[in-house]
Amino acid sequence: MTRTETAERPADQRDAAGPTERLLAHGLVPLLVVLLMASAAAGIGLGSFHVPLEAVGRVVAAHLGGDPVSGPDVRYDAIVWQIRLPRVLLGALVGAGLGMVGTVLQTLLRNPLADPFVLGTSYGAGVGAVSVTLGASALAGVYTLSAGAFVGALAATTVVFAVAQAHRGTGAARLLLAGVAVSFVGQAITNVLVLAGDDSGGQAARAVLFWLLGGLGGARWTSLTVVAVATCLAVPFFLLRARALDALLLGEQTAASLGLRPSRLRTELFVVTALLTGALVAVSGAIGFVGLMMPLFTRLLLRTSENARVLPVSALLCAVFLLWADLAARMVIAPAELPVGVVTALCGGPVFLWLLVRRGNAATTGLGGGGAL
Amino acid sequence: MAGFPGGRLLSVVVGIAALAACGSGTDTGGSAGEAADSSAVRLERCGERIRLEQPASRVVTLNQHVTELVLAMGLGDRLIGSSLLDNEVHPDLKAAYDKVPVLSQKAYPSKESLIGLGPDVLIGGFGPTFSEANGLPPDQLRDAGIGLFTVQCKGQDLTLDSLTDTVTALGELFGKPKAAEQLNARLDKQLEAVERQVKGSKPVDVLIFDSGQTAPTVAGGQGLADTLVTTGGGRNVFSDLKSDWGETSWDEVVRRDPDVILVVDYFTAQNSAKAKIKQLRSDPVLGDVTAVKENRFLVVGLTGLGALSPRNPEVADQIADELHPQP
Repeated sequence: MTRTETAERPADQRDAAGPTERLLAHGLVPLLVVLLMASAAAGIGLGSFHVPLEAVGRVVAAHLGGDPVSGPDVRYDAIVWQIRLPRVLLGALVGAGLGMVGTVLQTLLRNPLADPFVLGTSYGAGVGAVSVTLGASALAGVYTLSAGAFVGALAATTVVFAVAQAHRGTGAARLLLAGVAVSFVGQAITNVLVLAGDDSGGQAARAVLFWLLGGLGGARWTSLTVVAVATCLAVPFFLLRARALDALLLGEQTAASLGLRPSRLRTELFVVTALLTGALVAVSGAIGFVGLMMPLFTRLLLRTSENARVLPVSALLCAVFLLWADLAARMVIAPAELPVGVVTALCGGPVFLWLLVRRGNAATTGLGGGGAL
Repeated sequence: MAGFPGGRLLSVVVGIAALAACGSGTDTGGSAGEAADSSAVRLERCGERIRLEQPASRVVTLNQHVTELVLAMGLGDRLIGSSLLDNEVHPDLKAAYDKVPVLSQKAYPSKESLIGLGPDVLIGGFGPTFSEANGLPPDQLRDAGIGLFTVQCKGQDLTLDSLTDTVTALGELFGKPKAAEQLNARLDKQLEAVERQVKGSKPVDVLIFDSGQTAPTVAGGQGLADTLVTTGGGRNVFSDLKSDWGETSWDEVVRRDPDVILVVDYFTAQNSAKAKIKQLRSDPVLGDVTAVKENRFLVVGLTGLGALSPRNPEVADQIADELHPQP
């Protein structure tokens, strides 16, 4: 909390919010880390099939100790070690990744509507995935499908970025419009592929649904590697550029006057967010809401858009949120499952709206008029 | 995805998925049982090898037609769960059905809930039942020691011989060849009766209508529905369509002028057979179609029409009775 911000708030709020403010300022990140651990434990222990707690312990201990799992525990092993653990890790990684990507894109574009899916990435991934399903169904495994989605996501982002770069300094609206246009084209191509292709068994149609709604059910140890590497590299990359992002938010001229090279910085950040998004979407599909809303939620919660603080909190909040959303997706209509994207929007939307009503003022998003800067 | 231009695509996609689920598939997967010792089961089905030390005894059936096949063989006591219903359970099988736990009626159960049940074999109805898109990746299920038996392989051209083959293969899976023989004999007898009934009569033109407002989705020439209509003494007016189900146009329906419209029935509130018939009768474009003029509609459940099931001969009989009523 900077002095200017405190001064801007009405006097009656300033005094009342004392302890909460202090918690938000200092204790939030450790608190969220603890919460993340607890959520992960819940995600591993709970599910549509009840695995006794001591069995979970035995399976995890056996793997950590390098002993083979045997006897009746083989079933538990499949559920705990092969299904739930990769799923929980994927949820945490994808959540954190989307939280960071959303924060960075919104800052870069100075627009609260920016998120990897609004910018066309999800439809790009959909086109890639469906092409692979229809074109090379014999090869369509975890890797080829992911590779297709990855290439599609990157291609869509590249087009959007190229269009925006064609006229420098014309603002973020152009980029968002390009993103929406690319989304429509991607959607059309996907429809053509599904309707015209030989979709015996409806595999492509189902694949499209999966990419549109997103899901963590496809998590495997093998598919986790790419996501883990991408997210772990992105954390320090973004954090090191938090100050520069703050400067960009103040305007390109201000940034330049602070000794930064805005256009190079923007290009660099766009490329990295595209790569990270591609890596995430390839495995999890387009999980909506999280990347768009959680950074805004974080700024409202912290009452700042200082990226050094928003980035880690947004990443952790997203990770925790996605883990609980996934658990709900697994439990609500058990033993069948809901797509996690449905849950994220259904649970998160109302909370966000409530927050908008409660704290809705000029500084709503921390991006619009620069009020909360 | 809130507020995103995906809604319409989604409905299209859901429609296609539902349609595809109605039945596709063709015959590649034989059921060649290899030489086996006394009780071990060695099967290959749709390219999937099934190896069991003992005949299957803890089985989950994932689609209604499969559930009914197993129940019709009298093997309900080997089932530890079933999922997905398209129609009401067949009255003859209802008592047996009620003894088997229903895991979920509208969607496939999750892989962890299935693994948790500890089945020795899962029986899926359609080629893509065991797939990542359905949340049932074959490799993870296999790794958990579960055999995967699919009734209709992907891209299989279904005939009534496929039904006999499937029942025989299920007999091997459960170590109950006798039960399979008995069911096959019963089904054959029913079919022969239908064939006798329609023998010598002139085929009647039939439209097999699944659903559709702006454009009709109909059965083409490559699915089981086409076979059953032929068996029942009809001629599918869209048998030249090279797929099991496909979309055509209302103009084409008028041009081909079916004498009878067969309406496919399955559980979805807004799509009940009654509503579909009402729609067809009130459409001015269809006013001159013979079937509409003469009000000749026949409602048939998807379970017996689009998938290999013990109802297939019954459905052929139902069609024969409508097309060639006996005096």
